Amino acid sequence: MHIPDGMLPGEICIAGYAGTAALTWLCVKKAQNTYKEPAKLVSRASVMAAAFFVVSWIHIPLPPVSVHPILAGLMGILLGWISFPAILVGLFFQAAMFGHGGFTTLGVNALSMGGASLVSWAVYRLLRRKPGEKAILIAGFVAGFTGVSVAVIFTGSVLILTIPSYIDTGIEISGILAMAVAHIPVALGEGVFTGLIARFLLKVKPDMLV
Amino acid sequence: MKIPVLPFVLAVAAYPVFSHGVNVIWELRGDSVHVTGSFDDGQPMDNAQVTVFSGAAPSEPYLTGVTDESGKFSFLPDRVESENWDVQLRKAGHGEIVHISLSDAPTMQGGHGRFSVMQIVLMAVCVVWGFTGTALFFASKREKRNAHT
Repeated sequence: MHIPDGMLPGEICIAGYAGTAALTWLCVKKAQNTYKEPAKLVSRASVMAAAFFVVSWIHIPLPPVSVHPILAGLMGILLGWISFPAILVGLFFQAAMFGHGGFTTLGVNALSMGGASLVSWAVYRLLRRKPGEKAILIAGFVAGFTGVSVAVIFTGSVLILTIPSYIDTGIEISGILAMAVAHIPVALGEGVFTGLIARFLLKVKPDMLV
Repeated sequence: MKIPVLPFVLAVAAYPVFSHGVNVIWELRGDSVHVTGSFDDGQPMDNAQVTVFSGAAPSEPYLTGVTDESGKFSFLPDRVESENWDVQLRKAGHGEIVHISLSDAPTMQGGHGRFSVMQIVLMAVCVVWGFTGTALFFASKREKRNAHT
């Protein structure tokens, strides 16, 4: 759920940028201190950012709305701390090329989807402490599901809390809730997809799972 | 060194389902402004909430309304108040704002149109190649460093 320009008050946009700047700094710092070869993750982050750029743009019609995958969970478990800046870059190009998401709302969108990737990664790390393929499958599923859920809840909450007084609140809230519910199949689908990818990588290249 | 193919495949395969953004066009006919909102797939933005702002008071709504089943909305701007108007269409967090200037010509139209499929695919491929090039650059740096050690 990308928030376009003009939907949020200026103060919220500024707060979004401030939060995104702080989180970006934190993530880069953590990546430098945590990973032996941060540059190795940069090449992987570039490919994942490309996948995010394209996949977020595949819209699935679920009348009367349309939804799109986010890949926040998968990016979290493959990139760790780098997932946030990678999603930020992907969002910038989406706004620049197609107007998908706004520039003034870039900070808020980054907090939504980038933040979701970090939360997914944290949940994944908690659940994967148990050894074995089944545990990884479940951890991956939960990460993928969480990625979409957190992004939808964050975006929906921001939109609802900032509805202008001159807008019919009831109609707008109903529309936003309908969009949120429409993302449940997306969350389930991404959960399954992320779980299968995590299990596959555990077998063939376990070092890719951060 | 393998070039990741999947993002390019997705970029091309995604073209049938480009829809989600909002397009708003406007037209001045006589003294009335006619606004039409639609989604990228051509579906009208029906029952969207419309807010009109005058250039004289850009933070206070001049007029509010709802688009009809065809995504259309019309209003009569007060030229004495302002020659510049902003119209926002909003539906479930999606929307667009268009700026309307009445002073340029007797009849005028503008707004945000749609890219063609070819333009979208080309732009997507260019961006994906940019990401891929970055990935390959950093990967080759790593390979050279490993070769020296």
